[in-house]
Amino acid sequence: MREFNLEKNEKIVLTVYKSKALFLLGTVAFVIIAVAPAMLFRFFIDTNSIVGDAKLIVELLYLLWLLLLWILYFFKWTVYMLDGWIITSDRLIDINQTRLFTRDVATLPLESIQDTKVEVTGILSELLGVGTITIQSAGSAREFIMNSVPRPHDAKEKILRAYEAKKDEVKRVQVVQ
Amino acid sequence: MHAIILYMDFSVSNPMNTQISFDTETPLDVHLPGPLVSGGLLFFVGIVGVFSLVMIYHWFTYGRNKVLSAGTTVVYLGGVLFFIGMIIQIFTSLAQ
Repeated sequence: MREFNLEKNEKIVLTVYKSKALFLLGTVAFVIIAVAPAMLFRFFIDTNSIVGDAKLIVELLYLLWLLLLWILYFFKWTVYMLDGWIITSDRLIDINQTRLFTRDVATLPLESIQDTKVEVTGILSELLGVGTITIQSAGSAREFIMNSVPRPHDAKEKILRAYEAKKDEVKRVQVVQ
Repeated sequence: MHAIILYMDFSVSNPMNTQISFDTETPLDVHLPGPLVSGGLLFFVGIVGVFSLVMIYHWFTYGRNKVLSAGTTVVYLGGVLFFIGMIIQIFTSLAQ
């Protein structure tokens, strides 16, 4: 990762990425959209009447459609692959890849976490076991939000454990000083 | 490429049984000058190329691991080259 370097004694506790199941559902949607024009042609158009140049033009348009979908699918894959949270023993790093050229990386020290919330809304989320984790930080209006997290309650627990460990460490350092 | 002759006649026989047929008796002539087509094709390939390069750069720079990035790049480029190859092949057939 180019966005950050781990400090001395800092370890990665957890990496949180969006749900694979939801991405697979998106893949199925892409496949349906890709074959839809071919199916429409098969059922509604007399394909025997399309001959010569007309046939080539229809094929050309369909190939352009497939190429566009192929690129869009990999754009979605890029967002899926690069968007995530990395929780280390010291901080939470929120990597937000919204578009191809828009990427922001925000860091929150673990001791600044004030509130953590998990939301699972809708039947699909319930069935797939995905949810949204929201972290409110102290002294900042910014909320750290991660959608479509698989097993969000487990992730929340691990974040809270890392937070408690960091808080204990800060206390120990203060006592020694 | 000098001309593309497109024959189309969309006819709906009845609302419950829609049939779109291509009528070869009423040609619609579409004349496209060669430089325009070649230029358009080059522009299109250029746009796809730039977009692809940016995505591949992102995969290798920020990706989770190099193996995943390399695999993604191979699959993606394979698909893009296949589609562009087919598109160019059709253009060549149309030009003949």
